[in-house]
Amino acid sequence: MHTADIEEIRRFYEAHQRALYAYALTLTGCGSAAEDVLHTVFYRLLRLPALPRDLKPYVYSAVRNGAVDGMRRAARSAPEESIVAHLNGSTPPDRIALQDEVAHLLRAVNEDERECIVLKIYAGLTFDEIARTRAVSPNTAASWYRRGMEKMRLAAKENAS
Amino acid sequence: MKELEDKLSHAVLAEATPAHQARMRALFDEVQTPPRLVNRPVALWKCAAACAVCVGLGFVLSGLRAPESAVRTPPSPVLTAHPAVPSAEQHGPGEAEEHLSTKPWPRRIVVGEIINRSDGWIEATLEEAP
Repeated sequence: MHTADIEEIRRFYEAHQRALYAYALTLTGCGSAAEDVLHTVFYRLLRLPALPRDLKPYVYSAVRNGAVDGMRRAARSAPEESIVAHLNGSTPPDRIALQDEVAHLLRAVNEDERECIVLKIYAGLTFDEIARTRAVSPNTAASWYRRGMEKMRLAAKENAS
Repeated sequence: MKELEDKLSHAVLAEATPAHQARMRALFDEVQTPPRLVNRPVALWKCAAACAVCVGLGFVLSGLRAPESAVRTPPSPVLTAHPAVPSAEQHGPGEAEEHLSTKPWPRRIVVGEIINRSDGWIEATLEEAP
């Protein structure tokens, strides 16, 4: 792989590292497993003979495949770590409340819906790209997203009342 | 839905551990600084060309060296005695004469005519002794 391609992958990683980690964490439910998946994905990506054409969907697909393979090998029950950061005490209370609420809302949806919401909102993928990542039709991806958001909206309403 | 999307997008995502971030940096650094020969095929060509020149030069030099037989000085016909040839005293005049006529060396050479040349050189003719 050319130096320019390697540099492009590095830039991509630096721009997406939080979203990639969040996605891997959504799939594995375990921080250390998510880190291993990311490392393996980029280790393999950097050793490809050429840069994949659509890097973003390619990398997210690779993260998904790596996470699924890892979980199959380990056959473990995921401890379900949250993708939302635990902020320290110096953070304003309303900010901490927002973090807690989002973590709570993400637990209100099923795996497909959560994965789709993370890819759409945090990774910035389009429904077409999500569909390619998940090997489903764009309509299915959009449907997962809408259903998940509706569940979240109801959960937020319940929380508020 | 827009309000909910905004709320979700404003949440701060969890971050990987510093150890993982260091591992990822090392991964990129390792790939970005490969051995120059591997990363630059042109350097391989230069190396191959240099090897070809060295090998070619070796062949040329080995070809230029004269074979050992060519540089060996032939024995002087007058001063060097040939051990395989019997002397005239051992066989008598008739036999020795006959033997010497069949063998190329040793033979007695005598200086014939001497000419002083105008350019400073001295020219002399050598003749086989009867």
